[in-house]
Amino acid sequence: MFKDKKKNRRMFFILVAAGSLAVSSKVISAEDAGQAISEEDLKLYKSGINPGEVFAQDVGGALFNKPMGTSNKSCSSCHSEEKLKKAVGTYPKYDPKVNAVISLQQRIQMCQKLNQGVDKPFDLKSQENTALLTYLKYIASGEKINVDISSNPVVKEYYDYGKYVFELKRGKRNISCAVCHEYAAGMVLRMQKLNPLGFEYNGIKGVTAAAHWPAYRMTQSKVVTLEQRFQQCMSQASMQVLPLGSKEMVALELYITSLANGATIEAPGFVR
Amino acid sequence: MPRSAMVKISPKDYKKDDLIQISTVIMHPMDTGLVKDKETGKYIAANYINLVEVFYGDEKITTMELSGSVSANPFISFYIKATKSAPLKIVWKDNKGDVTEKVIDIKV
Amino acid sequence: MDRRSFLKTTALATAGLTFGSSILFHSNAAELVDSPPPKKPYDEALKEITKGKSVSDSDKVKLVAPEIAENGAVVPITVEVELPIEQVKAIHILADKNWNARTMSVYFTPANGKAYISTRIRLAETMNVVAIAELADGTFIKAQKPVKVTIGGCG
Repeated sequence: MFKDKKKNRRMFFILVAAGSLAVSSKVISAEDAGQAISEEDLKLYKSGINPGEVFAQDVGGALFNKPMGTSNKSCSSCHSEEKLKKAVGTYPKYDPKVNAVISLQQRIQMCQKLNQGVDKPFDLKSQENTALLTYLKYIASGEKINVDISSNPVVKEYYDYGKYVFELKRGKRNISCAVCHEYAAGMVLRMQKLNPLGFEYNGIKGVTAAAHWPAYRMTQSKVVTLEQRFQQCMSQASMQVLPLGSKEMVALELYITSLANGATIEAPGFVR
Repeated sequence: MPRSAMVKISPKDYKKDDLIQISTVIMHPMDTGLVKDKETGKYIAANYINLVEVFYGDEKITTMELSGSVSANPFISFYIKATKSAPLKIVWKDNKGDVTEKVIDIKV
Repeated sequence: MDRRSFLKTTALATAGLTFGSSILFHSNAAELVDSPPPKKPYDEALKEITKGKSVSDSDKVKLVAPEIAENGAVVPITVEVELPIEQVKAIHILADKNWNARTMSVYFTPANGKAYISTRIRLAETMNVVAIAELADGTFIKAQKPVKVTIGGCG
């Protein structure tokens, strides 16, 4: 900047100090904001077997290999797991057959109906659909999240709509997802630190949520899908819950998943 | 009717007389008997795993008594000394009489 | 098929497919009863285990539990007794404010190699978790930790 090295160095320190002041006035550490669950405590939850893994292998895996419908074919009779696991991280994804972005759960339904000849595919809220989804995300663990958000107008529309839903203030408290997961990220809400849902926001480390969902929710003793988690979040935030598989939910799922683009899939997760 | 269960050994590359950690999960609701059914006001009957037995070869080496206070889909981890090549059998029994077994071979 | 009618079709689909229950979930109709199981408060549970014998605190009993539990349904607990396995008969884990204060009792043999148990328990509220080691010589030693249980976070 300046020709004089001393002045440069002084300027540098002034800027750093000013910068950190600006940042620290916006960011409050969890310890300062109030007592929060410590990192050591959270580590205790990392060891041991995740019951979601048993669910993925035994329930999801069994369904994956079970012949169904008029075709009497199983998923495994058409799909090699080696190829499938590369595709998992690209969902939600544009499907030209319906000219819309669809979630992986909806793709499973589509496959059941069109390829297996199943008259009534598993409902989006069913444990069967969740099991198949969990199995697919489980075998894809190690691959990267890689959703497209820009290659055609429909995908762009869904991405923008998802971001809109994320930022829209609504409900009794007049808050949006962004209020907790961006604006208040880093603060403590009832002893839990609020986290951004991507890699980071405003210098606060995020959790790349889409990479570890579906997840076994300890409080419900079962595996829950990402869209179901959105519903549970909305309910807690006193907002009207959006239906599973609706355009709003799929768009939101696309947006949240895109925040984790590049993250490694580690599913099913083990969460509160 | 047997339930879904998983048994894992750590470390995988163990040798004779090593202490190895056996980790287990069985899918079970572990109903405490304290939860009320919303519609009838009656209690959902207690239905939980109350006994876990571990057999190493022919010998019973560990017995565990559980109550409804153990979390659903119970995770239990313990150690054994890998003294011999023999099957390690884990038997879970619940208060209704349901039995689940899982066998994993210990090879030294 | 256009998106609307496709989604309508899938939305109408109910989980109507029947499956061999061996793959899927056992619980369907839960059995209902008139009364809850009998209460077993901490003192009663302690007496059941020690038969009135005294229990002294010991740093040989290593109890690992979170200071604050993320939720009351799943609290990771690990207990290890730092004595030769031949000297340890059992480890009893108690939760002093639960309806049934006894959670798990593990009876070892020398084949275990180590007096160690790791599990996940339920805690109804903030309370003490007590790990009691029953030794081969008939004595009892213990360690305990208070665990805060909150409603926690958002849902």
